[in-house]
Amino acid sequence: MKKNKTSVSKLASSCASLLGMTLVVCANTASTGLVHQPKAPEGLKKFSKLK
Amino acid sequence: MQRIADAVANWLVKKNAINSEDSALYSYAMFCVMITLIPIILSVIVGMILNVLFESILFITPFVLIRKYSGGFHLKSPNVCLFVSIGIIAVFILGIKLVLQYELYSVPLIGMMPFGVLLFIKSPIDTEERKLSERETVVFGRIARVMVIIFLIIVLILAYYHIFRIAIPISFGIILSGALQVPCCFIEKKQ
Repeated sequence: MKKNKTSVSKLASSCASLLGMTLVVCANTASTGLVHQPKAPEGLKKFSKLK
Repeated sequence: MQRIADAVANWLVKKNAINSEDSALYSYAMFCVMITLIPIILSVIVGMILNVLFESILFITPFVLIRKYSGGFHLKSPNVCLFVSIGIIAVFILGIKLVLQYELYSVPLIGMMPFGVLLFIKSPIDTEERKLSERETVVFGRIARVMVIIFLIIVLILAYYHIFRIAIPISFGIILSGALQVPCCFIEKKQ
């Protein structure tokens, strides 16, 4: 049970780092790949390398 | 899609992987992951159905790469966007198959030129949803132009050596990226 809990939290932190990398990509590109662009949240600017 | 993105963000907060105030940011990231993966998965499926999997991957790669920096036309609704994308991707992959089958190579090779020029002149095009700063406009525009030139050169070299199986899908990728900037030109003119 404890082992299961640890692997779930490991999975969650891996997901969070992957999504963190996605935020860096999103903040440093102009658009998404598809024909829809979701509204960018204000906090996205902190991931931008072009300030 | 938004519901899935929100659910993933909430789960990350629950598991203490992120702070609750970053939830909206991570939901946006999840949404972006899905919206980037969809055209890739779609082209793989359509490519497999039409038996042009290799060509469909060669088509979607330059398209996604250029579009990331060039921007262009976007639909407001993600659901409408999904259906439109399925249609566009299917039509373009079918087009690649037909061009290769009937050896109509000159059509996309000549056709990509005006779209390449359009991408060169207009990139990047921002939207209300993702406004670009002055610096971003300069940098992204430069990256988009460099990518367009590189892909155009690759296509021309491959066409010169008659390697059309690779050249044609890449040219279709350039055409689609450019074609999605055309509606923005009309919207701009109207305003």
